[in-house]
Amino acid sequence: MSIHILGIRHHGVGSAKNIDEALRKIQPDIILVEGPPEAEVVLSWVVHKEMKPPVAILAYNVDDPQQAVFYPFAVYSPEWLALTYGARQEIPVWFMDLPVGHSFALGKAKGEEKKEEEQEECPAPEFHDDPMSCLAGIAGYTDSEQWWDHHFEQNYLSGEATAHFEAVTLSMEALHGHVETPTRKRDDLREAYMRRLIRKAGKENYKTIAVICGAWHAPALEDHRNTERSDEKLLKGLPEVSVATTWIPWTNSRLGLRSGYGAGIVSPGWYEHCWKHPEDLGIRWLTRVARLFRQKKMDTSTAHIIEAYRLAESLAALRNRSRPGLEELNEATRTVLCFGDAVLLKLVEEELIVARNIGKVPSALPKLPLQADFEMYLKKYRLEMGEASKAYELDLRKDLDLNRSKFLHRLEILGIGWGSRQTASGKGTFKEIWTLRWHPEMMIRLIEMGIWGNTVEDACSRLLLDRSEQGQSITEIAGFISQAIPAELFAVIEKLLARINELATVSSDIPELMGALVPLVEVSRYGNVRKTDLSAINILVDGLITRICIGLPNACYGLDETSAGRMVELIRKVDEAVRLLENEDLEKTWHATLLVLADKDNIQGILTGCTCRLLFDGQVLEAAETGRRFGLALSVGNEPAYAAGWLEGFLRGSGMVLLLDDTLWNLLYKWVAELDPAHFVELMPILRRTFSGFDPGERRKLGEKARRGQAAPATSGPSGAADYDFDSERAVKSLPVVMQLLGIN
Amino acid sequence: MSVLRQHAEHQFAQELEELRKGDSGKLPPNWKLSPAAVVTYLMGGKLKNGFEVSPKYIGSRRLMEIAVATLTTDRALLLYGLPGTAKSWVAEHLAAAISGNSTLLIQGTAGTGEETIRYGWNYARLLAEGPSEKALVVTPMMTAMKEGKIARIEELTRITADVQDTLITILSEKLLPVPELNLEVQAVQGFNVIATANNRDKGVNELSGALKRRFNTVILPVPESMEEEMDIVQRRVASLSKVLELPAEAPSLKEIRRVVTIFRELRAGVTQDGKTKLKTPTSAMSTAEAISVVNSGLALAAYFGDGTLNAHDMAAGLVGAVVKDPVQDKVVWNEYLETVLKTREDWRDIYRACKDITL
Repeated sequence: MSIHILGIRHHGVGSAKNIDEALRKIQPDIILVEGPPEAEVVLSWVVHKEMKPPVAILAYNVDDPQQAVFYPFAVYSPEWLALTYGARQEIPVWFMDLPVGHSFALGKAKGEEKKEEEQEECPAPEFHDDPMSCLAGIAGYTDSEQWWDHHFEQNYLSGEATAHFEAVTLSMEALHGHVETPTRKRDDLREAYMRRLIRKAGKENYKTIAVICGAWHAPALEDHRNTERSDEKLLKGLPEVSVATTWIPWTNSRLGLRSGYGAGIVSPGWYEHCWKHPEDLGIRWLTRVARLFRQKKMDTSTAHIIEAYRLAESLAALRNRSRPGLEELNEATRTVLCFGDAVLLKLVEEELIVARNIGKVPSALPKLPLQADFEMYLKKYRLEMGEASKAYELDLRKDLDLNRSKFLHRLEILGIGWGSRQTASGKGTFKEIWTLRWHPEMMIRLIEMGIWGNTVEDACSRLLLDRSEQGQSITEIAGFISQAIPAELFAVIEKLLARINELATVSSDIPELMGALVPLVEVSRYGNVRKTDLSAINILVDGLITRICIGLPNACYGLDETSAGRMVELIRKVDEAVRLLENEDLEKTWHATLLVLADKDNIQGILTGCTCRLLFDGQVLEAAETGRRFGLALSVGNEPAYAAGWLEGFLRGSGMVLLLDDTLWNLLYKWVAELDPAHFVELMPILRRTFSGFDPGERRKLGEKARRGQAAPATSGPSGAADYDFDSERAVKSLPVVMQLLGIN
Repeated sequence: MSVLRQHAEHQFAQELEELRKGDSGKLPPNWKLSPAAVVTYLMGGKLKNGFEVSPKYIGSRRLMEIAVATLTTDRALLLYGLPGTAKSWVAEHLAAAISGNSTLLIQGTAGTGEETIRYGWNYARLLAEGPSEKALVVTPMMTAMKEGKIARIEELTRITADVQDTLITILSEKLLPVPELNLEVQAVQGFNVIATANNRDKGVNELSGALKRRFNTVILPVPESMEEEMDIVQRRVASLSKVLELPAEAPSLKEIRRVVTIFRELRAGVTQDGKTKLKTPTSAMSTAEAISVVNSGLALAAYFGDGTLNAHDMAAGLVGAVVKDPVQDKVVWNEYLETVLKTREDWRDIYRACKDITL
């Protein structure tokens, strides 16, 4: 029996090339790969023709899908190479890391003590808080990642694989066990488990065993013979939870994250380039950069590429490197192509160094029913899970677009924020603009939502109903309704309406009813775009308005200043809603209520002022009557504070009425003029607040008007030309010249 | 009598000599030092024989590597950045280290004509003898081309666009024709150009696309960290007061820290603790100015004070550096004084000193 331990760096291109070579040479009859044993059931998929890395194995706790871990693979990952090699040669491949089930269970126990560490679930971050910086430091590197890169990844020499892995193991031996790492305990467990599997493979009579693991673990696995007893002792009685695994598409930018292996890479696009074009010294890369710039309408010539490459080469020479690395190429790009400006380099980073790739998994992969349902709709509605943002402009009059919108709204209910909605410009009601950007985590969320139902529609409905049963406030449930309508969950809407009705009947909280009314009215007014039957909502809205009209006058008693201000806002909103409805009966009831309010004199001035204004705007009160009330409110008998409040309520938002109506203006002018200084100072802040709400143009005009003093009541109507003494005969003579100047004729 | 300011290659002659002795790298044609040794000269470090090279540029080593690597190719180098970010300083030292001569300098101004870049005529001679090589007035650029050295152009963007473009032939063909004499000067290996330009100035002439393409651009940033900036100020003040023979004691770190803090805060528009937003003055608040504030403070202390640098000595320079525009900057400065300096318990002296002057 021969055992070959091949220490690699996860996602290392050089490691991958060496693994490729080593496997061909060794011709193993079994391969052991660092990875979750639970995922062995899905391993057969790696050679499926629809499988396209980057992909990841998702392992999640069946009882708590949010506890999940990913094992991502790129096309150049050494592990991926081993997996595909095994599958092609039809030899067994085992995953040999500590089962995720144990890690989850251990993590959970730990998580109860320290909540924030939950993210750092699984394995060790060997390349980060890393012991390797010891060696790198000795070699004069500031960054261990770089050190590793230069020694083990960049200079792949063909035919030297055996020596390469020996060197890796030797250098790690110098560290392992001598350097304390933060993940020591977990590592011990993992290595014990790995050794156990190596022994198992030996016992099952495999002759040539290839073991592929993170370089850090390599030395620990050498001694698998004499550690059996201690290992078994260590592994005994570990807690376990049940875990399910599946493949999910991964993205390049996510390869940069640490998960599963605890190792991430920052430049997947560059690695992929190195993998695909091992012979490239940088010219091909720089050409790609230049072409990218050209695509973005930046002038970049071939001469630029030449110069950039020469600079990169000299830089590499200056740094004693055999060939330009990504750093040198980036610096050359920045200096030559971007004129020193680092901003443009961001573009290169996004498009090439990280490269927005998203992988694919076979559609036949066994899935959770909800996931399958989700994907069925994706196909049906022709939506793509892309990593780059893509904007969709949906025209809701078209069936496909309507369905898409419905689908996206449903996902939103499930908490999958795939699409974000912008307000569409123009005549908005038929148009929706969505920007779609997929993150792999959304898949977990989807899986988690599996507890609510097996189809997207089911899951949404149940989730909303459950929430509405727990919700006690009308506003909250009205919010659910406005979510459910674009998602077209009719069965749910009915139940939600019933629930609102139930709550509204017992509720004495008028402000809350008012708050809930507004979204509902919007829905009933605009909802018909979606060809839905909204009669139920209309009935509810009628009911709500009636309730509000009855309760409102009483609800306005005894309010302090702040709640009165809030009430004014609500009243204005309801007024707007009522106008939107265009229902004459309702409007009448509402105005009647407002009139009652306007006549009350023991409520806050701001409320009466506001109702008076609304009635004036609604043409219920005549101008003269409004003037009378205005004067009444500002008369000496009233507390100045009341008057100021009234004024604030009346004028809130717009002072146009003062500009247009001289009667009101004069009343106000007189009132201000007659205030005694002490009162004036006291009222200053309120008045200021009122007027500061107007737009600057209005304020300027008001100022000008104030300078002219009281307006003469008769000046309305165009006074104009007749007042001037001018000779129309002479004026006519000048007309042809003016016409010529203006270019007419 | 010693000169007020020595050329870099004289001031650091010993360092250059030591570097040359220990230099095992490959020399590009006509270079005095290998590229790696040039970087060491700029960044400082200990040589194999134990000799300590002082750092000239404090900041990113990578930038210096790019600059040096650029000069090894035949592309010209453009150092770009805010005023006072050591552009000319770096250019001078690069020329000193590479060619052993930092004097081939053309100062760019709005009035710089073609004859200062290409060649001029000695008109007396021209009239007396007719056009001849003797009647040519050779420019630093021409000398650099003939001898294979580095020519420097300061403030390239201040030169008018048509004059700038005379550089195109020089940089791409490495050629300077003299049609009057039917003769041309071809650049010898080792020739290159380092230009500096400033991105805060108004009324500058943008480089044309053709010229821009002949330059590799390195943007020199303002110092990244507080410590880095203090280091720069301290080193420069020490070396300057040595040159100027100021009798005052070396400034305490505390004073330098305060000056640098004030500069950084006003430049960034936010206090060091990130809690208070500030207005920024119109002046660039560069490190170079911080150095001159400390320096003039030292001079005041030496000749009018008690020989140690205190808040009063520094205040005059400080106010002068910040308040460049008498209206706008004064508002900024007064706000800063009242809202930031005043609240700092142990900064009372500097607050009062500044207040005295500002009022």
